[in-house]
Order: sequence, then structure tokens, then C-alpha cells
Amino acid sequence: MKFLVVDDSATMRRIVVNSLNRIGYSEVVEAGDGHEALAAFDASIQFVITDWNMPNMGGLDFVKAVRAKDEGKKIPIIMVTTRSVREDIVLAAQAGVNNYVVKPFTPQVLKEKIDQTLGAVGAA
Amino acid sequence: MTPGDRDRRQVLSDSEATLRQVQGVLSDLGNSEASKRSAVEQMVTELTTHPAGFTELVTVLVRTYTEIMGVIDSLRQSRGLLEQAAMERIKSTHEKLAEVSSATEVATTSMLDSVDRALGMVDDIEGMAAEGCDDPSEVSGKLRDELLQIMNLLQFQDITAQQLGYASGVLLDVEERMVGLAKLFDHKSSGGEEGVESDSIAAATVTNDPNATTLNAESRQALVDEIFTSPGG
Repeated sequence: MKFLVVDDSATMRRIVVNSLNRIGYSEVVEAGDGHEALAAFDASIQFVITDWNMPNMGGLDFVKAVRAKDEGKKIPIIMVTTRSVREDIVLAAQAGVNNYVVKPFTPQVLKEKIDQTLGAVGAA
Repeated sequence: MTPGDRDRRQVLSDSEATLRQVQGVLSDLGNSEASKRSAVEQMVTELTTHPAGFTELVTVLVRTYTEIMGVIDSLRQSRGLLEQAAMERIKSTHEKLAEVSSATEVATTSMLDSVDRALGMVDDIEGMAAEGCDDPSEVSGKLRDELLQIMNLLQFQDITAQQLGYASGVLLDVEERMVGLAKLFDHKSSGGEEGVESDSIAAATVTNDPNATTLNAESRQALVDEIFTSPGG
């Protein structure tokens, strides 16, 4: 499964990619903001993990842009972010994210949310 | 001299003293208040040179006082707005910076603890090798967990970077407001109104979460899970 990991923090990208590697996903494309991610987004991407607060194009706008594409309507998306007030979580859900992970996270939580999301998308 | 004459002389004396103070303030304000300054200066000139009678003098004085009170009110409002906005945001920034310091220390201590445990495990592996034990997998598994724990703890870098980025935006905002107050006398153009985010803060919140924290991740994740698993969530 090919992941697209979007975060403006190189440290966070590395931690997410390392966590993905540890739980068995080795094919990962990285992007530093929403614009870069949109440029990297194509039909080969099967799962998106994105931060919210980023320069140029933030995670929320990126998710909306992906959902507006034919090839992005059903792709699983997890938001991984520090934002954790109820209004933000609801906004993300309304924008089309399938799941949401609060930073700082553990690899176990990330795996759990990926599994949940894949299960839900597969069942849909 | 009648008591009425003495009162009028006292009023005139007080007025002249006030006008001198106003002139001093106006000259400090620079060119941005040129129109207001020239208006008051014109009144001062009228007051000191006009040969007209007392009634006209009183009228001029009333106008002058009105102008003065308007200027003082503007200054008071500007100062109040600046104080309120700046104090609240500086307090919030102070708390964020304290949290950065705390988060850095907690992460560093946790990493040092992990390194200590990892070093102990390396010793165990060496001891097992020396004793001819050929199955160090249990210890090496624990060692791997410790190393992964260190990597996870490094998430504090992203979170504290957001806290510092927002704090920087607040400081820029306060600086802009102070510069605005120094340049302008009218609170309407002194750099923002109460509760309104400046460009600096708005820019800072695009790339940084003002509420970013390393604390209570589990309870915050629980709120997320509640929303995402609720009907219609």
C-alpha cells in the first residue's frame, strides 16, 4: 500500500514514516505542505496521512482539494495534528477525513487508526 | 479686583498652562497629527492675539478644551486597547513559553531514561553473549522498544516549534501595536481593535496551532474517538 505523508515538520514526517515502516508499510511518498502533496497526489496513492497546520496550503484545504478529485473521493485520509478542540475535529470530519490522530501519538494508536480506517473503507 | 475677576484670571492661567502642555504633546506626536496640531495651534494663536472681548475668548477656550478632551480621550482609548490586547496575549505567550520549557525538559528526561535503560540492555546482551546464551531476542526486543520510544518522544520538537511560532507571532503583533501607537494618535488607526487578530497572529496561526501541547494526548484522542464514533460523526 502506497502512503502519502504530508507534514511541514521533517521530524514529524520521519516519525510517521518510521512508524509506518514498523507496522509493515514501506512505500511512502512525502510532502511538506498541501501544494506539494497535491502535486504528488496521483492514482497510485492509496492512503493519505496529513498534518493540519502547514504553510502555503494547510491540511484542511488539502483534504477538500483531494476530495474534489475523482481519484480522491474514496481514498482513506487520516489527519494527524496537534489540533484537538471539538470544533476543529468536527471541521476535519466535515472536510472528509476518515480518521483523526492527536499529536503526540504512539505507533500503536496510528496503527489502530489505519486498521480502523481500512476496515471502514473496505466495508463501505 | 472682584472675586469674579479673580476666577476669570484663574481660568485663563489654568488654560494657558494646559495649552502649553498640549503644545508639548503635539510637538512630540510628529507629522501624523499635523492637521490636528495646526488646528489647535491656530486656536492658541487666536487666544493669545485676538483683541476681541471676553465672550469670544470663552468660546475659543471651550473649543480648545473640546479638542483637548478629544485628543486625551483618543490617547486613553488607544492605551486601553493596547494594554488589554497586549497583556492578554503576552500572558498567553508567557504560558506557552513556560510549556515549551517544561515539554523540552520532560522529553529530554524521558529520552535520558530510555537511553539509560537501553544501555543496561546492551550490557545484558553482552553478558548473555559472554555466557554463551544464543537467544538475546527478548532483550533485543525490549531494546528496540526503547529506541522507538526515543523516536516518539521527538514529537515534542514539532509541537514546541508550533508553540514558539505562535509566540513569535504574538510578539510581532505587540510590536506592531506599539509602533502604531507611537505613530498615530487616533485609536482607529493605532494597529487594531480589541479582540481582532492582527496579520502577524493570523499568519502565525496558519502554520502553528495556538493550542498545541504535548500534554493530555490520551484524553484529547478520546475526544476525537468520541466524535468519530458518534452517530453522524
